[in-house]
Amino acid sequence: MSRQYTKEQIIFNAKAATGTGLSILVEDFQHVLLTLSSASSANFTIKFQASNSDTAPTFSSAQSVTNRWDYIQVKDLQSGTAIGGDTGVAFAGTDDVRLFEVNSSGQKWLCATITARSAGAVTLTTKPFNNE
Amino acid sequence: MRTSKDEQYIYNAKDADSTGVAISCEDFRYILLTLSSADTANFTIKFQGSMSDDCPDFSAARTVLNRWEYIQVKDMQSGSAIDGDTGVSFAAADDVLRYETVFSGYNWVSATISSYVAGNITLSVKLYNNK
Repeated sequence: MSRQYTKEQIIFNAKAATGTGLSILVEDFQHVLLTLSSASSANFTIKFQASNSDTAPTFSSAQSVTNRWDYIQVKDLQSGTAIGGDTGVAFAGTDDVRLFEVNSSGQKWLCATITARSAGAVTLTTKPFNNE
Repeated sequence: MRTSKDEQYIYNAKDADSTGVAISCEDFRYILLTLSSADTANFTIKFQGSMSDDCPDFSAARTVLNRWEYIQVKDMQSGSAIDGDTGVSFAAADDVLRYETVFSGYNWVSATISSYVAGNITLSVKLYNNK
């Protein structure tokens, strides 16, 4: 059977403020890839979030027993380096395009939150897929 | 059942700095690369990937609207991982080397030759799934 995938889906589209992005349902897919890109000398930190709750959590609210999500580790496709969820990815005024893969499968919901932004615009897309 | 495509060429005896053909690989999990050289080749090559729906311009700078990145590959002779920003350098000793992309899920792959001094470079890609 051939691979299954979706088109790219957008979590952030030229976001120019701190905030939490769109929640993406990825339950039907084993692998989740992310493309993070920036413009206008972006300076920010982004952390990726996931949840296995049946109903989508509020990723912008604090984690709790009834709002179950956590920051998740990703791998950099350029170097294979693992980046801890609590650390996230920081841009410091130099625009870039970075590719990542979520380092665990079985997530139901995926999202991301931008913090510590002082400049620029952030675009984050995701591509979920199965290999067989 | 295994499915595959015939070899496709990113470069065919290329003898200059340049960016190769972009190959669509969305339907395939495994991406194997065969890099070969002739005429005492001396160059650096870096492999590129993208998940964009539309094919990016791998020869142009990366931007929000042109989303690609250099990607890590694994040397099939040694199992060593080679970072995308590092790439592979030939220094006047012709060779045939084989690689696999470390990650799957790319929509597009390509490669760029830089620091070209001599020789010519052929890079082919073989796409397949195991089931």
